[in-house]
Amino acid sequence: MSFTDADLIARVLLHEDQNAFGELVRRYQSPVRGFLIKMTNGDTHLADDLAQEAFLKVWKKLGSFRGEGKFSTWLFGIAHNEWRMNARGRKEVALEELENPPPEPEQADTAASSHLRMDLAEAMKALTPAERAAIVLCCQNGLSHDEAAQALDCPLGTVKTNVLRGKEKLRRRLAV
Amino acid sequence: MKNDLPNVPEANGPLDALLRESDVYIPDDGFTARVVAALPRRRKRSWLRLAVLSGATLVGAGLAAWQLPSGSALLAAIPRSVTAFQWQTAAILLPIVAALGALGWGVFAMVNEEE
Repeated sequence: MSFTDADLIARVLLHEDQNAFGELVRRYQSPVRGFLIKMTNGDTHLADDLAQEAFLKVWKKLGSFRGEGKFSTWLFGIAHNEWRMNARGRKEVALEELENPPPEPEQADTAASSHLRMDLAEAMKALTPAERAAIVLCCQNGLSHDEAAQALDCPLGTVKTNVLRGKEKLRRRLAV
Repeated sequence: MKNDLPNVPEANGPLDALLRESDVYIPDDGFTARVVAALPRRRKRSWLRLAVLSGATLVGAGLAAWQLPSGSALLAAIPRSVTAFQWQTAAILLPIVAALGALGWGVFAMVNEEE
């Protein structure tokens, strides 16, 4: 028998059922860890630490989950916040980082560079964190723009722009 | 300004297919077990802490009032101050009321934090 997220959440809240919470973690560990691996540019150890912190925060704050949106949206929001706090703490991301993308590489308009094909993981690293987050949530995890905006705590228009801009950069870098 | 971009991400191009393909499942490899092992036991600890904190404070306050030279007079002044308001008694009682208020605030904050 398969429980819905709502069933599991209710069991956690009513009985502090750690097995039910474990099922939620098992269900979402892959997308959350995958999201954080991309946000940390492939640092799997840091990503796992952040994912664990995010799930512990979920355990503590589950009572404040209103159930108005999807659980996954709320969970991605907490995971993103964990990443953001960690990145700021390590001064890797300045407050204005979302507005200052890293410089674009030379475009593939020479014969030599036309052979340059970065794989997707490498190409993702060249995006700004905001573009990367929007791309991963919307294009890989199936969130709508609205849900991504909610998870990333930013305006809807910003998410749309970041998805569009990020995909354009990826297309250019990967030549697809 | 109205944003005319679509609300749902477009997902038909080769890049979208590549993005979907690259999103592979990450095996659990004990991650869930580590998270569950690290879960704090919220409520039991909360009520234990609440009981210990409240009990210790009340016992401490009672002992202090008993041991102080003016402790008995202070205790005796409490019912009088309730029936007939006196400025001097109120001045003495004010720190006690403040301390109890702080205790109550602390307990309230602790319970809210745990929830």
